[in-house]
Amino acid sequence: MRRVAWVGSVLSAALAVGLSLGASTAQAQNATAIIEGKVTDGATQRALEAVQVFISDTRLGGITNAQGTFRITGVPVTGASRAIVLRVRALGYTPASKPLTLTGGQTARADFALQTSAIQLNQVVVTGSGQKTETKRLGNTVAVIAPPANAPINDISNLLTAREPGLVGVIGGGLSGQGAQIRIRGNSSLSQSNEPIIFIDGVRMNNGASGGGGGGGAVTRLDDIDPNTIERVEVLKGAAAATLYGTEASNGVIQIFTKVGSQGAPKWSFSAQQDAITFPDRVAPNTGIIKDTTQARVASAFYGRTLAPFDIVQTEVFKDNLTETGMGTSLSSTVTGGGNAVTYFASGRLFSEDGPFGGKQLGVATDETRRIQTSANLTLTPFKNYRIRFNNNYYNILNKSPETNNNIYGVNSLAFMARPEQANCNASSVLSPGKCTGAGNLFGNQAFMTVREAMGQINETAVSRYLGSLDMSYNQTPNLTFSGTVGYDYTAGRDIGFSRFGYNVDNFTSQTVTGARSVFNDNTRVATLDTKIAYNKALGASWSTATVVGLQVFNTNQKTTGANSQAFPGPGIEVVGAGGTAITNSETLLTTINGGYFGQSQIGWHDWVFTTVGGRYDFSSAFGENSPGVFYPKASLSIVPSDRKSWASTRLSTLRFRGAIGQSGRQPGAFDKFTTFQPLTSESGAGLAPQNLGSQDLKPEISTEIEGGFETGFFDNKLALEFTYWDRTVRDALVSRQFPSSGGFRNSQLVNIGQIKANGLELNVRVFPIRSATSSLELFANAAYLKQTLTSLGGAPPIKIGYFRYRGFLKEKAPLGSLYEPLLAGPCPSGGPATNSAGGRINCYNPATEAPINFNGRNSPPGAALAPATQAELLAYFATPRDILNSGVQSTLQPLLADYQGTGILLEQRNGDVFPDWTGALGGTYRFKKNWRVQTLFEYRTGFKVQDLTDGFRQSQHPSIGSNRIEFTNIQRTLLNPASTPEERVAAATLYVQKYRRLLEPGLNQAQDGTFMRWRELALTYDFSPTLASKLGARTLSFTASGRNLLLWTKYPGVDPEVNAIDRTASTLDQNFLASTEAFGVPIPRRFSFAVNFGF
Amino acid sequence: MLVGCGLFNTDVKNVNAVTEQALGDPTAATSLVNGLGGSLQLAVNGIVGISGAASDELQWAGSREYWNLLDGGDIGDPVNEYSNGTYPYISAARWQGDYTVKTLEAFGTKLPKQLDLARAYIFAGTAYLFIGENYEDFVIASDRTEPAASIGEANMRITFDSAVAYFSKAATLATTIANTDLQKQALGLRARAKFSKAVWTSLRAPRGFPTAPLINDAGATADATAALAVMGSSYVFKLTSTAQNGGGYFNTGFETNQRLELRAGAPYVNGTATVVTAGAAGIKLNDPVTNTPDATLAKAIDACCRQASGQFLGYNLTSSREMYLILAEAALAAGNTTGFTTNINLARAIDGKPAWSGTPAAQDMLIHERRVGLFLQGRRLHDHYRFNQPADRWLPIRAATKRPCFFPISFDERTQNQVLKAANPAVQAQDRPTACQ
Repeated sequence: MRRVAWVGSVLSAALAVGLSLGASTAQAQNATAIIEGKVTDGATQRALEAVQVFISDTRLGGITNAQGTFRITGVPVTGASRAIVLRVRALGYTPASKPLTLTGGQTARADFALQTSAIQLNQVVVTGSGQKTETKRLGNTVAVIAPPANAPINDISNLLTAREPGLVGVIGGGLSGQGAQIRIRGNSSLSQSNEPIIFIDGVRMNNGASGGGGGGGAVTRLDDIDPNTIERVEVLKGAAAATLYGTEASNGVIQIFTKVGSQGAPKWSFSAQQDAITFPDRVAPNTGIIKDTTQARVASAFYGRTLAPFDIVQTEVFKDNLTETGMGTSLSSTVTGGGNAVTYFASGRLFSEDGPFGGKQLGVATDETRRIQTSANLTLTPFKNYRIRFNNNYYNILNKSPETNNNIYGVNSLAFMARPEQANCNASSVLSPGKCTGAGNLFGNQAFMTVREAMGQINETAVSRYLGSLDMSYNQTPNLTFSGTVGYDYTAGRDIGFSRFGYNVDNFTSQTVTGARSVFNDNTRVATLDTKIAYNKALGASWSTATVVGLQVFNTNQKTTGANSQAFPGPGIEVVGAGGTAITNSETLLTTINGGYFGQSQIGWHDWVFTTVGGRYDFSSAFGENSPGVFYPKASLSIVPSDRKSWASTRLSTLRFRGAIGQSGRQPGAFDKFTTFQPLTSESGAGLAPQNLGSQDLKPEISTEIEGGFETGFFDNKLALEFTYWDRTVRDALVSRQFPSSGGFRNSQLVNIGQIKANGLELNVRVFPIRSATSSLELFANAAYLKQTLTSLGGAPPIKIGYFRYRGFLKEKAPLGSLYEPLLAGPCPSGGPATNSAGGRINCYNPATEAPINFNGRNSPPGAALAPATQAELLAYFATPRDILNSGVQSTLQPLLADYQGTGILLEQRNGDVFPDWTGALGGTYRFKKNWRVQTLFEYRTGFKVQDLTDGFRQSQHPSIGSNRIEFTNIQRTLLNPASTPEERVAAATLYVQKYRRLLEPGLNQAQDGTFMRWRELALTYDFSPTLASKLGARTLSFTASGRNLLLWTKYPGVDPEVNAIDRTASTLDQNFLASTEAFGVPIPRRFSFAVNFGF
Repeated sequence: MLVGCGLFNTDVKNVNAVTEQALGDPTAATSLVNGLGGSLQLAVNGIVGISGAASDELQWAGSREYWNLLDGGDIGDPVNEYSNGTYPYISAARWQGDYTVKTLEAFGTKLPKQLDLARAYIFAGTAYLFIGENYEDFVIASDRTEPAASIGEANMRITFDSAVAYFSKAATLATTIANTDLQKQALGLRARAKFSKAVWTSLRAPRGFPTAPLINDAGATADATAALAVMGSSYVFKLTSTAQNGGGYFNTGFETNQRLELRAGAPYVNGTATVVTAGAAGIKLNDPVTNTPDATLAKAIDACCRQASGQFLGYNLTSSREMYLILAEAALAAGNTTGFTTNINLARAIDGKPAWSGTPAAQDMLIHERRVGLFLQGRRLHDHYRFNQPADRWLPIRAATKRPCFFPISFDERTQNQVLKAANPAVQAQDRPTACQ
């Protein structure tokens, strides 16, 4: 610990000395000059805003305003004149430069007409390199995402998704505010979070989530950030790039840079957006058959029409009762301005949305989001080489959600499971067809509660959050820079689940009918300290060096309190203290400290060959006070032949090769190494019970990543192709090993015994085929391939992931996210039953005379060959109608399963995995008739399976819930109807076993191909010309009509292949390996927006 | 200048739990025993649920099929989520019992309260008792990360011996410290353990439905008599779950009274598929003497299986009633009609039911009183088997209808315990025990 403090003190003192020296030396300046100019698009002559203009080899520069003009004042001129090179960099354009000669006391002018470029090797990035660096100097990829202008983006999850190959958002569901998990290059940890770490302006931010644990949809802290304040996002995809971030960075780093002020008079901009949101028609109708005359009589009375036995009744419970056109409003404003010494930027946004989940006529549950997001930053330049930036962000977030996802009290699940033939007004009387005078069972729920009662439960999550930082830098000389950031992110979150006294309006449910309330408070503080010293120097004409050393510390303190109670004494009470039963409370306190020293040195040769070496030495509270730290090394090489002075080709205008290797890690939890006993209260008092087995040898898992690739630009960079191959090995992977519970400890224990190997490809093509004064076209397509294998569990047994109906396991030698399900026997090959890799028989049947049914489970002792049912047996059995909802019939029609893989476990045959092999996007922007723009984006994923648990119930023989999609209902009717023939019943029973027998053998017929393409974004914008805008009293003016998630192309039979019931509040293991789990969530909605943007 | 800043202090304390080192202090004894009681309560909560579902006491009414499979008599499936999920809790309680006893015994004279040690014996013995009563086979030699083989189906009787040994120590210590309540618990539980061992022998050595099912075990009889001497006529020792300690893998009270996955079985109650009809109308099973709804059962249903029962149920471990039933059965087995009549009527008198005087037949009377008097206490499955009276929902193809079959070593234990796998390489983790096939 002393070592840490000593080095930290040295670095910090160096920074302080540097800053104070700066204050004195900065005053010794000579005569100065001013540089003015304008930056425009070379093709369209449109003024370019927020372009960096700077003097080469100095830190002097400025940023263009909305008119494209810039002004750099106070440029030192020693002697009569000074020759400089003025450079311009803008995202999407080829950098440009001009030589200028400055004279003291005079103003020089330089205008630039920039040419668009599909490749961005001169783009300056910060993340992962310790200081500002051109991307061409880095051997690793650093992706930069710039928010597309006027695209329909309401939160950061939307901004990140489908912009960069390998970066995927896994969305929880389609309710308002439901956030996404973020994955970059898949999973690098078996047991620890695979979320990337996220920084905002250099400050580590709390990237947690809230809400979902209570039964509602989960919102993520990432979406607290106002997307309108974002200038750009830099993404490091893995250990090769993120080594300088050390422990915790093996899943990549996302750094968000917010907008800063620009010099000039105050410039205001306003945006008003109105959204209409609807669910796509993806939920299959509820169907059922009238079984007998009694049911026919009740149903006829309820529906107001004559129904007879074996009639099919069909309703659309979800579509007709629980959807609406949601409405959202977003009002935002920014102002920026300032002078030479001070610039400012401030923004405010109110986002308010009542989502597409409806049902207000049924109850109080709703999906709503309200975000109040404010930001203000001040940049001070008290001296020429001295910059201080003070950032302040305050967020106030409120989200309301119905009970959702895999939840027997979920509104969606109850709507999906309702059986229309069972609907009735037996508790009151029929008011009109489908409506009761009072209590009733409007949709035919058979268990747990009615939809109307479920609508009486609410979930709310509210967050107040301050995120601020003080960022200082001082250039003591053009070569030496001291910088430091102190950040503070404090989140006060409050989750509430509530059902009022007497919410059981249909007298159906027995779940806490006198009310219940849960309250959970989470106060999390993340403090950041980041100090760096950078030294850059040219060594003669050929060589250059760039060196940085620094210290980073992140201190996270989380305090949670919670309380639950049930049984209020009467109506009107909504406080947890009033509950009379099931009273519980909880409190946790957790402090985690991670930090490290880093250093990196880069050597350049002739400005086209660059090599970098560096490393980080980390310490962490999880390692313990006396444990040694961990060192993560890195190295990279970048060669840019096209930057050689002799390179003259315009066909192959840019060419770069790059390669990098680096390490990063993930540390175990703060207390995982200790053997602990946890509180366990019994009726006799406070007690203790085993918790952690403990492992004194616990250490971080180490991810080593190698990546290599190239960038090429063709035809003056109008066409760009990027390619990256990466390969990752995670050693000492932390496995959450479950030791046999007979040893006394029920909890699993982390041990460093695993190994994961992964590799992938990333392709990106961008082309500007049209570029003229009146029109332009930009197209792009990207793709990412991912393969990840659990190469070793260190001898530990397979690990089952989550709830027993989810069929994810971690097994050695298998792809991560693999699903293991029973597989039905197929037709026998011509030579008779085949054998599996273990030499065992693969059960099969003769389709001409047999069916894949193991009649009455005969021959079921272990190891015995299972005999298929013969057609004769089945015809005899189905000589009389059978009710497939009856346990005895289900038991008779057991599926004939086969051990295709020789595992000896019929219930666990690998059946694909939940992670797409390929992900990607394509789209483009077309500007036409000078003022019109169309932007579009399509996203696709393929090569993965979705666990369709929704249809596991809806397309199955479950006796009390579900079993209500028309495909299954038709089978049920055939089997039950005396009018059908034995042959028809046998055919129906065979189809049932082949496709619709589910749940009884967990996973059978459950996994479905999840391949999809989604039309993610479409935006049409009209930009008023500056002249017309000024006539209307504005500086800028535009209208945008846009749509989001407009269409979905997929063969997936369930609700939505993209939603995932495992949201950000699920256990880490579930989050890691149960992606693509559809369980009673709602589809992702379509959003139609109209926005007006204007500035003055 | 940042030395004093807490940002750098990697020496972070865990204030949410205690390290095992701290348990070396004798003042931790009470917390250890309370925790053991909590762990045992979690285990019993689970075992009573799966045993109730497998017998005719509880029936499935909800969404999760593994209750249905238990309902149908598929008791030996290691994959069943409920029996699989219960196994770790009884395993943990077993380990914690041995650990706590060993720790407290090592404190010797430094132990502040001998009462804690006596309670530890009671809880530790009860864990073994439930294992013996409910499992085909079990692993009891594992310790922390070191797995061990199972004790073997034929050796399961030693679990009762372990229970008896612990209860004997508890009884001795209870006498030493003159704690009457502990004496009642120790003697009553020891009587139950000896009785259950005799049942085990009748069902499993050899395996089958016994032709002479009545138990007359001298040890059980002696202990029951001794227990009653201190218990009086209406003593009950129960474990009660609480909001802070409500459930393990599941909570039987929650499943029955809130989630409504289960409902009291059709032979016992009237109601909808999920809810028992209110009041006396909800009681279907009549007292064979009065031919009216059985008062003992009515009390049991009120306590366990109505919405008003709540989700935090209590489970009787031993009682005066059970002692009477042990004595009655022993008398009946011995042909002592007077003894039987005396004890069965003492049991009936607890709930004010009129005396039995010969109708129905004595054995039927015994079966009935056991059925209602020990309702949802994990005994019914034994009675189904030993009196060869299948539960109403058992399917003909299920093993429970063919021979006595008990809960297996769980699928998870079989996959995680490599010693167990090595000892039985031909047996796959999902295979049912031989008796349950």
